[in-house]
Amino acid sequence: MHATGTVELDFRLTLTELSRGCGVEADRILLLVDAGLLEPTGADPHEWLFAASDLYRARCALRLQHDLGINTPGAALAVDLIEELQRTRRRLQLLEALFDRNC
Amino acid sequence: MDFKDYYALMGVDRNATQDDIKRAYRKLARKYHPDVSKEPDAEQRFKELGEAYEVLKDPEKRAAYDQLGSNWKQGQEFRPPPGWDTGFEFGGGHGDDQRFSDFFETLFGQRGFDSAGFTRRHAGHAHGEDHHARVEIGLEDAFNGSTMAFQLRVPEYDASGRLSNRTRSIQVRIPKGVTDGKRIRLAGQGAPGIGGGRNGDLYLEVALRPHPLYSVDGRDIHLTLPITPWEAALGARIAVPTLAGRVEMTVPEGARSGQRLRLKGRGLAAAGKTPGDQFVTLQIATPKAETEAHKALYRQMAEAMPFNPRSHLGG
Repeated sequence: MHATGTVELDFRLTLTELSRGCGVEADRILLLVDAGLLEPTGADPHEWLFAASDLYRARCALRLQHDLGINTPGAALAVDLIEELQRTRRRLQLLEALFDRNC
Repeated sequence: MDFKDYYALMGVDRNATQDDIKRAYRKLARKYHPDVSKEPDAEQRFKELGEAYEVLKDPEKRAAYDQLGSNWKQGQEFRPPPGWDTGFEFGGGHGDDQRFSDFFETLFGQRGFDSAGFTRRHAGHAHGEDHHARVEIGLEDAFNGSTMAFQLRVPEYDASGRLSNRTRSIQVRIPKGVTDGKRIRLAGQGAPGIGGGRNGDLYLEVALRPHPLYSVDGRDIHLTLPITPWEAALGARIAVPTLAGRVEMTVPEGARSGQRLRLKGRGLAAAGKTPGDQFVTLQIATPKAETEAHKALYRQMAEAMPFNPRSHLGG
């Protein structure tokens, strides 16, 4: 059993950390930033900080690119739509649960 | 070992062209991609599809596979005939570190770790791999915070370069007030560094298990509370369950079914953040008229209380 690690919530990632977390070189991440999928804060790539959610957006886009052969803007659009779909499904699930309990 | 009917898995004929196979793959990949699909077995289907495509898109592998003949059925017990692959040469790397079935590996050998394997890419000193996992926790654990043990499956290459899953136990302190979908980073809890390099990090995505009483919306908690008609009509003080235990709540006089009351600050509360609320939706439960006395009471109400709930319907 490993000892309890230091837990970070709402963490931010540098370009190097994000690239490592996605298992790709930084140039692949730069393409995702160019496509508007990721919006780091900071003036230039050395100062960029990405939100935790960007790690998941980037990994999803890279999987879609690899598995479905779609280009970067297409993957960015797909990630936006998938997130929208997930939000809608969560909302629907909540409303259905409330509806069922109120009936 | 089970035979894999790659043509059936891809839904194409044995004489399909390379273009047919590519089109079938693209279509099914969109359908079963785990990021997109809601099918319960999407991940498994997508893996099988990837394996089928790996064989059928490659003319050498496809020809070798075809040589096994068309009498095999999906799932049938299979042993390759001796010398079946004579005259075929299969290319090296297969692209990524996904693991294929024993059937695939028996026919075509292991996937090419030398070209894709991350462990060998780093000679000398290197940062360990980051690991990612999704963990499910109960709502009570999210509300109170707790230290929980999780079993993570970690893909690992052994000394001979074979990929296998090792189970690893880890204790994680789930912070109080964590919400569904929250991401947690555990620095240094990923794969060990190589040659003195730093360990990778472990990223966890927290999912809340559905709760029998409560529904959760971000930090807010929703509860449906059944009340009697007389509690609704006259008002009442009622003990309501919350994640922190029962609290007294005032049901106002003349309360309606579906009316929502708020218990401020009784939702999930993370350090340094405004706590969520608990919303209580009232549901008036009508007692059954089971005895003559009950029926008499209802009749008395009908006479004493002129009430038409359908007046707005014109009836």
